[in-house]
Amino acid sequence: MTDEQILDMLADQSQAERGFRMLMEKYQERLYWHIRRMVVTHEDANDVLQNCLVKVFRGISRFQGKSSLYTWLYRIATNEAITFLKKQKKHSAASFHDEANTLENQLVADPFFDEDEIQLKLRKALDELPEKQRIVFNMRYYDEMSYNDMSEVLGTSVGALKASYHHAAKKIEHYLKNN
Amino acid sequence: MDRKHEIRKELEDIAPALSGLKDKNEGFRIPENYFEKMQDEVMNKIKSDADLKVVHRETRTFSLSGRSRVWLKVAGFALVLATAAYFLIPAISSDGSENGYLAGLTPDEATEYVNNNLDEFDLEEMLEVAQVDPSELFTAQPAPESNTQEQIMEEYIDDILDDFDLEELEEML
Repeated sequence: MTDEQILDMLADQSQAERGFRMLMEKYQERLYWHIRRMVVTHEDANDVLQNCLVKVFRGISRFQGKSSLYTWLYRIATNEAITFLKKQKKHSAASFHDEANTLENQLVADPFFDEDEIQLKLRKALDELPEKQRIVFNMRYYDEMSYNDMSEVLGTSVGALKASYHHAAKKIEHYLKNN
Repeated sequence: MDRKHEIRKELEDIAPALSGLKDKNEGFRIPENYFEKMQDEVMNKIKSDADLKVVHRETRTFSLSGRSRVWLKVAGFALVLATAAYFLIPAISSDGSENGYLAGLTPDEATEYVNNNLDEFDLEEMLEVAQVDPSELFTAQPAPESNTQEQIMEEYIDDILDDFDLEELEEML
């Protein structure tokens, strides 16, 4: 089903629910993995994805078609995940239990993460990156997005995105070789 | 060159070791049938949010009309008082029980005077002079309990809170 057909269904009150289920069917996995790579644990990814989809439903009437539906959804998912991470950071800064919130502990505690030494190392390397660089790296490395789509989602120029990706990949490579 | 190939080539040039990891399993898994269940949960959230909004809107509409009714009653009562005062004050003056200058008051001034000296007037006497049947005053349904000053204030605070995004509030703190 095309995005246009989905949007038409969403605009029709009697078909809105079916239309939204179609939208979820089409994009839920991509959005989930994008969010999961940002927030890491399944439980957090599930919370963020659900909030994101509720916001998408509420805001779909404001979607003007200036960008593709896919990049619009990605933008909402990215913002939602960033907001979550900020809250989490603030919470752990105020908490005396910082250790429980380290990436390693989070991953080990997540029943939906297969402990794999190389993957854990890669995750740790990603965790060392500044937030924006990490997002850029994930979008390019895992989601295989074009720089133009990334530019629409993040509101950053293609040149700056290329530079961020380059730096991020170099830093991770360095981390993997030296740890 | 397709995008996948282009991305791989780019990575090989920048970080060859990392490029070798690209096809490996990320280590993340999801629960069985996760997406089917998630869809239902999202739809339930949307529906319950919508139900809450409808209830909230209905409450707000009701309380607003309730508030309007209070104001109408207050305005009506003030009009009665003004009319009563307009007729009553000259009557009082002619009895010599009040100073003669009260007779020269405009209706607005008289209303203000009555409001300031309400304790000194007898309601029945005022209504009689104003030719208002006391039973007419209370034919309207009593104001709903939600219109007490305290509850009006609560509704007002609710209205203000509705305009705030919880996340924004949290970020401000």
